[in-house]
Amino acid sequence: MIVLSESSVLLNATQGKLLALRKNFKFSLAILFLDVFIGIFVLDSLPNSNILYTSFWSTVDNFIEYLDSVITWITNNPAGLKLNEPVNTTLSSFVRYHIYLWKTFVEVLRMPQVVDFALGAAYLGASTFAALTADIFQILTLHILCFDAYASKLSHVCWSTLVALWGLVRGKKWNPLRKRTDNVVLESREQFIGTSLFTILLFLLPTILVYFVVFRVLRISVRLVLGSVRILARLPKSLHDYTLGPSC
Amino acid sequence: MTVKRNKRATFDFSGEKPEWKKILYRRQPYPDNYSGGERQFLKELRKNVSVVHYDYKDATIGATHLMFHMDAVVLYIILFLNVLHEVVTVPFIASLFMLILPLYVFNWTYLSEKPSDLISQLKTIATLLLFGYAFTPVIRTLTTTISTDTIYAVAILSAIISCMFHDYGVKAPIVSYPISLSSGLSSAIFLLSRLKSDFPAFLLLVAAFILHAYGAEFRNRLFAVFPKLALLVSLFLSVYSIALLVTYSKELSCLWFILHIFIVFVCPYILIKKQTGKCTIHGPWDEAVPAT
Repeated sequence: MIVLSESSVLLNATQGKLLALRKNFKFSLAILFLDVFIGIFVLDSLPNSNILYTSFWSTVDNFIEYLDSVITWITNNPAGLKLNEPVNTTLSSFVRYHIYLWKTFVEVLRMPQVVDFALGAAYLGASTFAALTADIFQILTLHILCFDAYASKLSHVCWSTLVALWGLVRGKKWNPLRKRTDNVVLESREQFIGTSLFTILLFLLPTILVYFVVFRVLRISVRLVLGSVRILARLPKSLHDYTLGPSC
Repeated sequence: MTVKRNKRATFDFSGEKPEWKKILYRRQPYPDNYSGGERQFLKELRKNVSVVHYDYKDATIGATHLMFHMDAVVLYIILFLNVLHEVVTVPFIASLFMLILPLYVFNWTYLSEKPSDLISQLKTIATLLLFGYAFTPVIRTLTTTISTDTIYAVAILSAIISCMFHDYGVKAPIVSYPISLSSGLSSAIFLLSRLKSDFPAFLLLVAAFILHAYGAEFRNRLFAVFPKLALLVSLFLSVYSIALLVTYSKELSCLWFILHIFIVFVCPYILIKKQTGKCTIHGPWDEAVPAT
């Protein structure tokens, strides 16, 4: 439950409202009434659910298409970056397949009920509407989290291997017992493997880093949108806390 | 809890003082930075303790060590260029490897100081075959998007780094076997990424490994055991590299010849002239060296 309320904005916001109600019932109730009024006002100013449905899903589709075109752009050596071709091809086809999975996932979610449900939540207050929107947004952008996880794991492995091999190339190694770098004389064959791996990884690093940077930027932008909606969803509780002190 | 401290001794500097001794275990009526006065301090000054006197012949032979290795590296680069421009074929490179076998037997019977460890050598050969062959396709496609000039520049730079850290038979702090081997190997890897097919790339990778991993030891032992033969071999290498460079660039070949003359004959002369002016001072301010 704690994990769920950490990740789900709706649960988190509702929990906050309940806590505020328990602390100061009258004040919170007033805020909630205001919330509901604003929610009805927002609902009134929005276009009807059919138009909303089409525009919403076309935005999602456009976004996925845009990501696909970003991958195409990376495969064409953007900005004169010297990317390694085989690695680039492998990574881009992997990401493309994942985008294809994402499209299928979105296809499954494409129900008119989703928009109706979100609009209906506005009767429970603008903050509930914002919270539900944030949750739907989170589910839809789940795959960006995956892309970022893969890319950062890959670049982390690549980077830490490079750091270790850079020591090995100079005849140094990290001694974990004494927490310092020691000199080490390796067999020539070990030196051969280390140097070959180091040179290969050094030239593959830019390609992997480009993927890392692209997906990290995507993830940060998703988090920015999510964070601003989350502020709206938590507004009743923060208003309460701001005027009357923390409720828990 | 209080820590008991020795009372700081106060000394009467006007009175008779005992003679200062260079010991730490007893408190003496002198300040901490006192080192026995000027006369005592400078008494221990010594000059040119570790100086070695070279004569011209020794210095020339030493310089030949350097040229031997640099000729070998240049010959390797020429071999690479010939393979790249398809002047030489794969059987020729393979026949070069036939040359390694008699060299190995020669090294093993006449030169090597330590007994031959057959299992370790078999392991090295297996590693080279397995990993070298596995890495070659990766290495060959590694830098396809980078311009050839950049690759050549980086390769030459790392070859120079390799020559700087190489073991020329003199014990110096700059000598480092791992750095020399790694930069030599990576220089070869940069070059090999330009080749079009896998098998010559693999052979050249192994050749680079042999050159940089065993070149230093072989040459140093050769100079120690058969100095005249070593000089003959280095003369041959010099002439051969200068002659082969002509096919690529006459100017470069001329420069290479002049560099040979400069390093082998002029540099030792400069050393002999300059070493009379050498003056190093040693004294109690030096780092302590444990007595052996």
